Amino acid sequence: MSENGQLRPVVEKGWRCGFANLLRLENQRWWSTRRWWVQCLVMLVILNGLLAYGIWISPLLEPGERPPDFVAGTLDVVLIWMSILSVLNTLFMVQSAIIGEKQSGVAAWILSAPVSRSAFIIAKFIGNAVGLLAATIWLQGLLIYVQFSASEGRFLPILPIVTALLLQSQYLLFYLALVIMLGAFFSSRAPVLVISFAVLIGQPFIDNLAAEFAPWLSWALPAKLPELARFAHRWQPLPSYSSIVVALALTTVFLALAIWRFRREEF
Amino acid sequence: MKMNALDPDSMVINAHNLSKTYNSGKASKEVFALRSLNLQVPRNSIFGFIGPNGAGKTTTIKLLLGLIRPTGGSATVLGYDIVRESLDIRKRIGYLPQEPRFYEHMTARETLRFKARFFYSGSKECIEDRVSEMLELVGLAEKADRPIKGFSGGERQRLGIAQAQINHPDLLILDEPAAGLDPLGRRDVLEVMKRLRQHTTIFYSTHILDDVQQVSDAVAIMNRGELLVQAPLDQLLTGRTQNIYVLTLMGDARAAQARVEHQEWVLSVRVAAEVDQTRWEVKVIDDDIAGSRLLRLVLEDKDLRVVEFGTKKYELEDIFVDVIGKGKNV
Repeated sequence: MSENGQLRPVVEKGWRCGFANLLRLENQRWWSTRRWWVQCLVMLVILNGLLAYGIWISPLLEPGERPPDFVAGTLDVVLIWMSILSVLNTLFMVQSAIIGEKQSGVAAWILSAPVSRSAFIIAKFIGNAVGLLAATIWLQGLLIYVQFSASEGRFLPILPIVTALLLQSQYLLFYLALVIMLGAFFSSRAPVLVISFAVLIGQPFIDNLAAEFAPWLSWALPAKLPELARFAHRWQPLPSYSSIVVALALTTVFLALAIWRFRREEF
Repeated sequence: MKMNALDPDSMVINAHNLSKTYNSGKASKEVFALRSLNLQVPRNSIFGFIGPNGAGKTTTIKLLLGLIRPTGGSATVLGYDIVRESLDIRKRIGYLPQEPRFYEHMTARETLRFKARFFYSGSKECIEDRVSEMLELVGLAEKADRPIKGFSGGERQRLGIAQAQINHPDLLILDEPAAGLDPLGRRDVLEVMKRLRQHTTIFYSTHILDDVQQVSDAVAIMNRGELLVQAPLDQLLTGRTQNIYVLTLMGDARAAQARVEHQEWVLSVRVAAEVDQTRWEVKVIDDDIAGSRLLRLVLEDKDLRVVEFGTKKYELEDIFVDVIGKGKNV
């Protein structure tokens, strides 16, 4: 058993211990398996496929007959579908990311190596965030932009669409952090899915109730982010920034709670 | 018989009153998983940590690894505190879980590569060399590129040992390394442990006593969360054999028995009649006198044939049953 002098000990300290390796693993799970192209393909068929069908295959209106807000109106619909699908996709893809490894014993095995528990959670968040955002929002957004530009025969302004996609991304990250936090707190998938769906379905109810009595609360809901995207792609001033701030704060709190809980987990 | 007198600096594991309790759910009702464990594991030993199921072996190992937190006492591994310096400990140890679980989609090579990168950076070739070395060590080179989901229990166990050894640890902690394996699998695992003993300290839990007797230098016996015995294996075995002699005789042994029983250095003679033979267990006070006189005394009877003579050989199993049965602290 000869010593191999060229191996250099890893020098990561504190919370970063094991982070690089875990992030590499999470990225590999996205990009070295079928996962990324299956995700891309499903979203491509649903979002860009329907859009292509509407624009190219069975156009209800010829380009010359389209109203001035045809692109904006169609984009509204596409972005709503994007927000719904990307969030549902996040819930189903990530629900077992932590629980599955806790149940199988893989988490205990990993944590017996020099790995900080914070690194475990952060790597899960970043790795899945990159994969989900790329496959379900940004690649789709790029193709949507290309389709609309080709349909209109000119390049559409890119900044409004990028801003709208950023808001969609924040919406996805909010749910991603929520699912990861729930995975750290619970040891079975059922409560993770039930609570996530309760948050997803409950927000429109709160929105309806609050719209009349407390409009400020209505605009503070993360569920308003896709609606803000409508304003963004039209390049109109946003009616409120509350939901952006609240979603950002909640995402941070969820991650902090996930780390706090996971550091107390006994395996 | 404990090793408290040994120099603490030469110990890789040093536990002082280490305890772990769980709330049972009922008000003010606590369940002790581990009760005031005082354990010292000497450097460069193969240390068998034995006990029946539920004895507290896995709890102890998880405490040492930082996978669970103690509710009382303290412990150091390689001089690092198990609570405050767990990451430093895990940089220098290797661990095989009781039921090794890996990413099923990965191959053995990918698993070892993944584990190696927690410890090392450097060129890909260097990492691959280390991975290949470990695959050779445990005899998995030919199956290195097959997904783990197709591995047998023995192959998983060997992969578990390989990944535990990937960083050439100063301390290797193996939780039931041979559990669930067939005799050949067990033999393979013990062979690997024997090979590794030149390089590292091995602390392993098991309930297979034959294995312990084959490879261990020292043992600790646990039961119901308590340490009952801790001692070097040879001391444990010979410490109990020095005062009992075993003789197997052919012929009428009654006269010889009477002569022996009259000696003042003889405490008792236990007789068991077998077919054509008589088996004695002679308990003596003075081992030296017995060694020189006992056989002569028996052979004074010309018609008596001595088929077997020697000190009683205890098996670890005898001691284990005795200690667990009496629940005694030694």
